[in-house]
Amino acid sequence: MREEAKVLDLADQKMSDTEQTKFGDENLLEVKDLKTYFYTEDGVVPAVDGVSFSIKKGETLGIVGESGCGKSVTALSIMRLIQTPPGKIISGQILLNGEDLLKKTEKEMNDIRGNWISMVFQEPMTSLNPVYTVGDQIMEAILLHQNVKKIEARKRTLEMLKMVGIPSPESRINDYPHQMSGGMRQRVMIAIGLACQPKMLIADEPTTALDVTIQAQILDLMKRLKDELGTVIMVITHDLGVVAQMVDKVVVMYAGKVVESTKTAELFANPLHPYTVGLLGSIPKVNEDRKRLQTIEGVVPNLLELPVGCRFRPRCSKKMEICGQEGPHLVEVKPDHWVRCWCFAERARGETDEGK
Amino acid sequence: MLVYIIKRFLAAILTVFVVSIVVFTMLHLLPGDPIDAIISQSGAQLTAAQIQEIRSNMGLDKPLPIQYINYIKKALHGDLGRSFWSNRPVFQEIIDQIPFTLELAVASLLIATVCGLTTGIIAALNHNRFLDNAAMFLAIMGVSMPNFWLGLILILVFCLNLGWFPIAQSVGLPALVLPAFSLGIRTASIISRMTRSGLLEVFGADYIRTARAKGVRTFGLVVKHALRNAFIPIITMLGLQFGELLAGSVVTETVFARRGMGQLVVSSIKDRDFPLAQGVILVVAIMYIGVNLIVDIFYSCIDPRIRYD
Repeated sequence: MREEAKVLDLADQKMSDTEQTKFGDENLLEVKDLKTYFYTEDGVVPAVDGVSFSIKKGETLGIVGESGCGKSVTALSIMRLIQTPPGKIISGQILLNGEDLLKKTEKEMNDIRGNWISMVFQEPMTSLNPVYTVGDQIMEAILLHQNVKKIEARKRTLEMLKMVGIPSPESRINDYPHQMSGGMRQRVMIAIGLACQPKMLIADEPTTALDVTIQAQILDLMKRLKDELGTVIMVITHDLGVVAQMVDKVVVMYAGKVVESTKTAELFANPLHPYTVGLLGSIPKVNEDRKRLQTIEGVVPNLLELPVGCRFRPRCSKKMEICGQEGPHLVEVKPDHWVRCWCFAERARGETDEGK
Repeated sequence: MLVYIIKRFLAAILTVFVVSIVVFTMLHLLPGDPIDAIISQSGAQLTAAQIQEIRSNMGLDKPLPIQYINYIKKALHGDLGRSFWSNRPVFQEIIDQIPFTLELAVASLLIATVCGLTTGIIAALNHNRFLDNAAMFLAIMGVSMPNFWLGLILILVFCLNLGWFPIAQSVGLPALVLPAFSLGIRTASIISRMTRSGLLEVFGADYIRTARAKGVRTFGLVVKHALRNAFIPIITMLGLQFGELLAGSVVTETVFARRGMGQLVVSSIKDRDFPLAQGVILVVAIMYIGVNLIVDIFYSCIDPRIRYD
């Protein structure tokens, strides 16, 4: 712990309140009705269409969904890394500690990225610049945002390398990315992400490109860092196993919308939305005697040709007439368990809300 | 990395030797006998015995491989023989003309690099907007204009009509400007296109996304992260283009009536002046191989992945 205390001492003052309000009730991040559309030659793609969620300090959020449901676009929208053109965040609010990130200038965002919010990407093999050493790339993050000398930054880089579990950091710091394996490169990415001790780390499918044993190591690392540094983590994944191991709260997305949102244990115990039920049902179980894996019928809809009404209707086993006429709203069916489905609209506690 | 440099150096030396063999063989296989050419030029009447004596004095009656070995032995001591025509040492002839050609080649390379890189970067940063289209239009124009035509047009406009530059001079900076331009524009256009496409490709790379996520500003992104990666193919191209520039200098020197190796090359081959032709071609080849060796070493400095080959 002494080492971590040393790292914290060197950090800015912003670190101290995270330590104190580790499980405070304040929301660190609030996304309200975020809409990110892509204007392509073939039409407008509503990749993120009215997504809302929030993360408290000390929490870990998981965003789950199939490919194309909008989870990565949500993360990139929070970091304001969407390519414009063809993408555009057309409406909504992204409140970080109460400040709306969508109203910030590019210069202000450059100060925020890597410093207050960091992001780790899916492909460790290509996410590092091949012509600079690993140490240089970590030091760059530190030198960009903190007012320290190079020697100090180098010292901190060595500490970060140690913290993410890279052996012999004194020699590894001068290595180039091509001299490292995928798992080690991902650790370096995490080191870069956490170098300035951000309040929040977004991890976009951090383990998808790694093999299973390394996956487990990286997840353990992230859990440990979450505990030691108090960083809020937002994990984007399609792997429910990762969700079960790491996150406190889950948001399930489908075709650009949130369809269910609740605490992890509750989601696995009582999935409500037919999509979630299907997802959990499709996980192969070792003790089951099945010839065919259970699947959800149909495919993810083409976002350029969305069905009228509920977007999940074509694949739903519980569809009703109203599903084809009007899209359901997100309602709080149980305390802190939100679902977007007409099956539960009547059972709602009288509260309907487009966002939390 | 030292191993890499040594390997490259040895490869370069081997290449020089191979070139010398090829040049030697090719020249001697050309139809036309230098002795006959000289004699008919001088108008003298010689007996067969006298011709044979001249031939053996010049060493032209020995078998080809022996002639080659004699040549190489002397060349390694700096003696490239004497010109059949002027009887001056080949080495001297070359030394007299080389500075002009080198000047031209370096100046045009400079123009090519500066103009090419600048327009390429501007085009990439303004992708699909006016500046991009304008730059690429210029590049296509530049690549389509033949060296000699451009040279003649430049002389017509800037020397004869406007009088800004001197004509038929070989010395001094003003005399260098137009020839360097006419020679360099084509390479500049090629570099411009390569820079643009290289940069655009790099802009889409994952590590640029990582850098943006770190909060790196646009300027730092381009200069620090993107350029160094995009440079690698560009530098290779520059090295190869140097050969084009050397070749093009022959034409440019003729059009602008400049002194240089250009006229040496043409006249020596035409006259079957073996020693001179061999000497000139060998020197040019060494220059070209040398430049590419420097390029090889240079980009092992830029790209760490290449150092361990």
